[in-house]
Amino acid sequence: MRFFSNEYLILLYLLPIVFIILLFLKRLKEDAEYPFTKIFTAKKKEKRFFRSFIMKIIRILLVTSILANAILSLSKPYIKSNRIEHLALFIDKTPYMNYEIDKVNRFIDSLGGKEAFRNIHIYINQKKVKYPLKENDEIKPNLIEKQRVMEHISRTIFSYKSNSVKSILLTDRSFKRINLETDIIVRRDAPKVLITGIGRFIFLYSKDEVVVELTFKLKDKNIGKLTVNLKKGINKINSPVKEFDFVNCLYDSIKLGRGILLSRTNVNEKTGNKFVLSAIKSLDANLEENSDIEISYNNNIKKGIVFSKEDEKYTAKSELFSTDKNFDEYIRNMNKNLEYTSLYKIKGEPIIISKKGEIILSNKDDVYFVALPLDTSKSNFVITPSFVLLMDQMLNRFTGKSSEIVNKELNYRKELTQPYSDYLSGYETPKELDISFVFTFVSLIFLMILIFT
Amino acid sequence: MNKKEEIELLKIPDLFLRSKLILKGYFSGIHFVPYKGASAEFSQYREYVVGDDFNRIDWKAYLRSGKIYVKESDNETNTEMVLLLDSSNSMNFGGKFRYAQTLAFLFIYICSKQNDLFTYAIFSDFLHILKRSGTGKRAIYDAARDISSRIAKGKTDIRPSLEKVFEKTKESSFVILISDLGDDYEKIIDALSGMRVKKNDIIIFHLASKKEESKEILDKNALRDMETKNIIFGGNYRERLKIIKERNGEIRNSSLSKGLDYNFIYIEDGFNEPLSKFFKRRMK
Repeated sequence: MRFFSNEYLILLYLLPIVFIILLFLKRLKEDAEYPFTKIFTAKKKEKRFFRSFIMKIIRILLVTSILANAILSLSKPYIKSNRIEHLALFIDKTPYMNYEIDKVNRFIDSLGGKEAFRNIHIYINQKKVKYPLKENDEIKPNLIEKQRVMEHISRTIFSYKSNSVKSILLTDRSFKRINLETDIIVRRDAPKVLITGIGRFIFLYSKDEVVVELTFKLKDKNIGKLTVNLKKGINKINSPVKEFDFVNCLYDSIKLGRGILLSRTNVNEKTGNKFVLSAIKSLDANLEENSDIEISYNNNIKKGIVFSKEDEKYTAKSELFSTDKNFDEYIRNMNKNLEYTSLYKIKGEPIIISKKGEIILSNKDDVYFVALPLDTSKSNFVITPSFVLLMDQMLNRFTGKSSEIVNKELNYRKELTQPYSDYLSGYETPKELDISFVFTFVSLIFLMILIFT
Repeated sequence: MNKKEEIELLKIPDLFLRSKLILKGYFSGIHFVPYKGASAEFSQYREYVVGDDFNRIDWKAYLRSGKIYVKESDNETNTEMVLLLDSSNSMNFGGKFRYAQTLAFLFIYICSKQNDLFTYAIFSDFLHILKRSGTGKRAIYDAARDISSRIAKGKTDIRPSLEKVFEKTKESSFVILISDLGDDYEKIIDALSGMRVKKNDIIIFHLASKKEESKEILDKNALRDMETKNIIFGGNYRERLKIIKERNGEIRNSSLSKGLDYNFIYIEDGFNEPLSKFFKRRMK
């Protein structure tokens, strides 16, 4: 016999103590002096005395037996069996995970079905479905975060509290090893052509050389079409339209929800800083006069990109937000007193504000570190990789480009273009039977006897 | 003085004092059959000495002889009281022994006031003291000292003690047993009824505390015997109370059927009520 939670077994050592406590504490507690007890132990009462004493011992034995059985039940004992206790099949139903009910049922049957597993649990996108699957068990595809998928698997397996669990994940994505026992079987049924990027350029992945037609649904409900010759692998195509909310290529399509501006972001750069310029260039932003966004230290410019800093010295939030005017001063003053290394550690909250101090856009959830203030010709403003990322994000958010949902969809498609492999744990699941119910039953029987005697 | 105050009086350590207080408070109305010489037998004449009671001068003898003679008589009467006091450990329960000591001394005191002779015996599983009193105040002081100095301990076994007392008991005595009758009551009653052979008047004062019948104690799972230290289990309040009541009833019936004067006293009832009943009944 094996125990799943053998740590509870240590409680069995405490049972004699419980027994002694019950025997003596109760006795001490209910003990009283009496002038003479002979009168109660007269011959005709002797039997009763012994009976009550024996009953007391029996009651104590029953209590300890109930506890012992409860502990054993809690420890989840297992004995050898000809079947595995649980089969947990997790199906990661993504948009291109083409699972068929018959296929799944056949898959389980190929593993042995009910003859090999005592309990068969099927979860499709974390929703439990009874085996064998029926036609109405179709679940809507959903891209659940991988982390959540893995957490669900681990949590579910643990909830069985059994050593005898065979778990399998069917997916078309690439998962890292979840645990030692879970097999990950990857099956990909994705279309030959996939849209993997949307923006100024449309990225298309193709398995073969093929000619396809790209279809755009424009904001004004017109449809735009473009025929392209795709090579094997990733293809980069200039976006023919500035704004659309749906794109289709052969069997793959992406719905963007509300209309998304795919035109390049226009930025009016006034600093003349070569690093800022190169950053803007790397972000595919257009440098244009009279654009919505201006990057400047010039006091006359209405909008600019600034940092705010969390600092205990300042209590009012408005004091933390700097316009490009006082930001310049702020940076300069700060540099006089701070060493580069300590400045590097200061947390910054990226915001875009107007000259009046009104917040146009803020991103409180993200935290950036103000980078090292390197010596530049016009300011101490810093251009570092972190600044480029910050700028990219702020520009994207300001223009409403590429929502997270689209990113998730695109990332999923990108993943489908990557090579994959199954993960077979090689773990031989022990064939065992949980007999904790026996101890629970015995415990309940004893409890009933205790109550009714 | 109510019952509560009487019980409070039991806290007075001096047995003599507390007995006198109880007597003064409650037995003042009881007529002690004051000694007037009517029942006393003539003993002798002696010459008058200063301080003698004028009432005792025999004026006829004075007229005859011209000398003042005082008439003396024996203090002895035909009745003698034999008092048996149980001092087993069970008497410690609820203050029974202190009550018993006081009650015993009350009888001795009354007896002494009547110039009756008395014998007192204190026993548990064997006889500790068996003393026959002399006359005068000294006898009563000795009795007070003996009774008050005794500590209740040991088991109850009345039979051997009774046998020894029986040997020394004169005929037509009052034998008073003060006990909680923790021993086998049939044996006790048999032994006491055996003393009736000498035409003795046997009086039993069966002492009990109301605590013995309280739910608080009888409902306990285990009861520890104060004398044997044995523990008994099981039983409940109702069962145990029934046993106690049945036993008390059996003792009463058995005593009365064998011509013994049985008196059951709850010590919480004090002295006045139970003793008034006793004396009234005896006066009839």
